[in-house]
Amino acid sequence: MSPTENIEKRIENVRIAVDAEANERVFGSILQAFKKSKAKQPAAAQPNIWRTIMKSKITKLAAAAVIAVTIALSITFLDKSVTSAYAIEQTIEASRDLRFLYFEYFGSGDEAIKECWIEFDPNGEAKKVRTNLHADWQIVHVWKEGKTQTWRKKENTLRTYEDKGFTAKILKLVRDCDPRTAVESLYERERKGDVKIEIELPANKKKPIVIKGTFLPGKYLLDNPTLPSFRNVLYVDQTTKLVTGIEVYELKNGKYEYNGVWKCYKQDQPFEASIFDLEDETPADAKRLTTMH
Amino acid sequence: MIPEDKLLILKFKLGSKDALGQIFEKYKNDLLKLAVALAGDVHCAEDVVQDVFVSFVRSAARIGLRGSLKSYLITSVVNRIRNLKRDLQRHETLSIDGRDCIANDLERPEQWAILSEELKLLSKAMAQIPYEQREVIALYMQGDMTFRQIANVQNASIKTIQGRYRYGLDKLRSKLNSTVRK
Repeated sequence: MSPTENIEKRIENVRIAVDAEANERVFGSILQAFKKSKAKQPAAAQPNIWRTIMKSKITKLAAAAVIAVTIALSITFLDKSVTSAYAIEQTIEASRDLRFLYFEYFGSGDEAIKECWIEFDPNGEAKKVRTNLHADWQIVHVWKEGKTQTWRKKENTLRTYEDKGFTAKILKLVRDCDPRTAVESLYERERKGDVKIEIELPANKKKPIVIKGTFLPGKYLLDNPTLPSFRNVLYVDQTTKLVTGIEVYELKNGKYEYNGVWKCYKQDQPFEASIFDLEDETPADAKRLTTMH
Repeated sequence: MIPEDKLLILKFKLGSKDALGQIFEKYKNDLLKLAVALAGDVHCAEDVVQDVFVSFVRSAARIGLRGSLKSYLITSVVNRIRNLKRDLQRHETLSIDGRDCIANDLERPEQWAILSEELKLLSKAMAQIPYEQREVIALYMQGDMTFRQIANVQNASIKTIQGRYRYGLDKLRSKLNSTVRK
């Protein structure tokens, strides 16, 4: 070994350890700083972490609160095929507390480019949904039990209508993003032949299960057959079986490029009623159209 | 960013202290080793790494999901040590650059980092080579940075960085050999 390689090896091989008690003390002080920094946020703006969904008291509801879905599938790991079958058991428990979810979609920047508010009824069905799309919220949709209001800022129009196609689209969005149903939704698409699923199951139980759903071209969105192939990467907590993050990738020039990530926040309090009513929010001079079937 | 880190950051930004704990456990040793190599003093190094993590938790809202978490933390360590060095030189107290500062052999009861004998030896030798060369060696060997990335950090050409690396290693070798001869 040359003298240079020798010294490089020495530097590479040096080890450092930490004193356990001191380590705990140091981490304790970092945690204090973390708690203080969270406490500085206004209470209304402070999001709750997803784990509160499962840690909160689960109440059995009259309309079947516990659903167990057993799905057997063969796993294709990233770098090798596995012929043995493997069963993933999903237990989804409906929680009376999980009534209000807020989502943000981040692209490459720090500002969210999409927002979504969902209110569920006591049976866990979506009751009201609002989506703000594009920069400056160029298009806002509010869906309430079948009826939709759409505000297009550029055209300054507020349209109220009933459209089964739009209802299907909005309920699909809810199902795709809801941490309880996101994986199941992907499996349903696989059964239809729209998506191919690959799963990484780490031996370390602390690491998340990674589920990659690669959509065939034109199959990603119900109403847009011109889209290229997309890939959703779902991270599933091995303990709670809840989805903790959804990354989106788009196929460009033969490569899947990062498009963005959905983040979800659980709210303990109801949203303000005005969030789901665009009447007062739209300018008085906006053209109002109503189309009901 | 590697997917595992991305998920950790996502959870951390959502307020998970478990995610913070995992980030801390994953990177603390690497950062301590780097800080010891740069600062030449284990107590300075401990303070710097602790400050880096405290600053990290305070910046949760600003941290994005792209880029390398490790590079972010390493850069924070480097910047802090440079600031410390500048402040010490300004106040004309014991400098962490060069011959005055050697790894502190005295262990405090509450000491966090436990250095192996080899690391103590290396740290003492590193403290005796010019800071820029020390930084290149530490970032390349312990920070897993490329010469290009280090060139950005030091605002120098890649050739200059490679030169600093080569000369730094030569000096380090001769310091270590002279230690052995003693």
